Amino acid sequence: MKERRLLLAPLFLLLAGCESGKGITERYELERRLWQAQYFHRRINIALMQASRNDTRLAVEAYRSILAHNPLDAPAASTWDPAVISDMQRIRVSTRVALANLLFLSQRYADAGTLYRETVGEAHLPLRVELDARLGAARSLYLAGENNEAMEQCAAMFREIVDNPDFWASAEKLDDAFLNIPVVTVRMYRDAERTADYEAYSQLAASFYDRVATTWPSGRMNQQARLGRIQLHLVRSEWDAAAAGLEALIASPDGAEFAQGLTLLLGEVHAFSRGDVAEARRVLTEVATRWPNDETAYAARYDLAVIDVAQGNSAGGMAALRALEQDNNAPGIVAARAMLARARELERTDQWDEALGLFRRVQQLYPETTPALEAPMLIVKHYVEHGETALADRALERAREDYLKLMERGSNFSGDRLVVQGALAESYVIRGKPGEAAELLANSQQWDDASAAAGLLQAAEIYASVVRDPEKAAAMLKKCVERFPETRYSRIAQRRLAELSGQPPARG
Amino acid sequence: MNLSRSVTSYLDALGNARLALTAPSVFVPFAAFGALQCLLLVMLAFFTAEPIAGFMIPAVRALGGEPALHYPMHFVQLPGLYQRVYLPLAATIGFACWSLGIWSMVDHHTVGRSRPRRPFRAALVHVLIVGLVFVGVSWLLGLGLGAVLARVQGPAARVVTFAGLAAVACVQALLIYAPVVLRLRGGSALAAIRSSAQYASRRFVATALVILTILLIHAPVDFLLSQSDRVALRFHPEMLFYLLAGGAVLEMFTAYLLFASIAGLALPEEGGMR
Repeated sequence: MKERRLLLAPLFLLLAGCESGKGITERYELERRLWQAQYFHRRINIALMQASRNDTRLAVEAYRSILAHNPLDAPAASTWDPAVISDMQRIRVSTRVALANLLFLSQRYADAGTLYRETVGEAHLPLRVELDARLGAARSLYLAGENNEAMEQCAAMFREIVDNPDFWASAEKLDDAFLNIPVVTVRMYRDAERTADYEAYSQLAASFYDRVATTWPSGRMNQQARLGRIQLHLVRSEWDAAAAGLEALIASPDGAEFAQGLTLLLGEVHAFSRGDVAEARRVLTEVATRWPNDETAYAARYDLAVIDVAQGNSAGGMAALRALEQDNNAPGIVAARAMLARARELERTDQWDEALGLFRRVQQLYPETTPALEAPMLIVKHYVEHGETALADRALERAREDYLKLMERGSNFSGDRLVVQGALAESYVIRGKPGEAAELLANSQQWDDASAAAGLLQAAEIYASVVRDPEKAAAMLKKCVERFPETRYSRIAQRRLAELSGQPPARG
Repeated sequence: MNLSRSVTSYLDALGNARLALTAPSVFVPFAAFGALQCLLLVMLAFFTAEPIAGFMIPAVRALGGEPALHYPMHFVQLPGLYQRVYLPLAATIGFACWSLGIWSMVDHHTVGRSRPRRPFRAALVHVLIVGLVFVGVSWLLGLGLGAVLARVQGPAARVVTFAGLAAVACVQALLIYAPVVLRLRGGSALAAIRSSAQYASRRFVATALVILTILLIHAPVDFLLSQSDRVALRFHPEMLFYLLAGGAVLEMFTAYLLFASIAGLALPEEGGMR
């Protein structure tokens, strides 16, 4: 009997230690499903394209299935251990963010933006997580063509930072990118012509940067705040204040890290915004002599040459530009700019043959740079302005060939295809053939999706603004919506369609 | 005894494992312990399953702490978690099952049949003491080996590992005959251990080779389990459960092979056949 009691003792102990453990079981299941989804997510990066596509679908489905059922909705959830509940909330936030990131990578920007926004709305999040989610929302919504929504997210991010005591108490370390949010918000309001918001947020941003600079009198935060303040002046075209800010930052120990770039910027503000040529020369010469082998020195030398040409010292300026072209150490973009600037000056002084040779050389030597993309268009423009229609047509034909070669889906061109597209359209418009330009842009079978969609939008714009054929413009926009649904281009096309049909433009 | 005789004895001993083909009942105690291990592993691995969650959650927490309640850390920790249960289990129930297997093997052997039958229950306490000493000494040697390995690196670590493995094989060789002695001669655990050491010293090379064979068969699984975090990340966390369950099934056969071989070495000598 005694032995039997002894045998039963462990059973009693076991029963005494029992607990419902429902919360722990649910958390474990959530973690297991999250791991499964992350497993597919990780595999996307290492698998081959075909398998990867399947993994993306599997990962999205796995994340969605986690979010579809919230164990915290169960009535018993209120009795669970608070640590378990907090873990489950954290897991759900991670799931949402991971799914939103995945949708973003799959270019499903609208869905990604919605999820990021829901993440922010679902729970009280740590500042860092909330800002990451809002930044994701802003990026997704911008790419989805929802510009107003993107602006709202930037503004909300800005307010979160300003109002968060942890940030001011240095308890939360933020990436530099987040300190740029105030000035980005102001720039977006300016570009959207929302004057009241632009003014209000300009003031908020200015006082924010001043407060950051006062709270952290030195170091990285101080540097970033002062840079933000300078950018704000630049956005608001407050050139004197921007120059003063730049001078102060360059003179301080915190500015030493970017002294070359900041000094070049100061010189360019004096030269091209403030019109203080003497001061510009002094500052740009300092850049060229203090850091002679740095890229900024070549840029400064280019600026000085352009100032010389503009100020009537054509010989000196042209010699400096030629020296830059022949300098093997000069960065390609600077050499290309120098070539283009010299070609334009030669054209202005009626030395067209030499200018034409230079335009063609830019294309040969630096085919992917902006000056090389501008060159064919400038040649067409020259012939049109001089009434040489036959030559203009031949130049246009050659420009078309050059541009289309860059735009082809299989081309190695790594630059901005929208710039090429813009130059192509502009060349036709200059030649007086906007209809042909629109036709060309609208029937681009050989282009990638983004270029094709942008081409339809540009064709619509040419029909609407240059050809003055709103019906054809509307047809282009509808085609864009049909061919590229759920993209930024589709959203822009929808808004433009509404404008053309006289309806009030939709938000975004 | 020269080396060729030792190798012949070793091969003959392994050959004794064929006994299970003619008398499958000798395998039953080993299968029973294997099944018990698998059951325990299933309970530990799937502790959140509805019928067992109530008592397994506190058990897993007690064994592995709070991190063991989280996925996938629970599976990463599973080998360590199971080890904590396995050692006392092997020292008691495991050793008892294996000794019962020896009892059965002796009953099927000519030498055993000529000796008086000894009830297993009467020898159980001594079997358990031998089991505790057997597992305890192996465990302590393993701890010492781990401590030394933590201080050395590179080729020296490899030398220490093999030396440690050899030391474990030697110590186990000295103790492994104890269940056979208890069955054939009776007596206390201490007397059985002493006789076991004498047996082993006489047939040391063959005995050590048998034990080394078993240790080497387990080495790949043990190595994979020592890399549990990598296995979980590279494949799937559940893979560790499959490895452990595979290890338990493998042990069912290797334990049988070990004790059948030991019986094969001891019984002919005990009967004056060698």
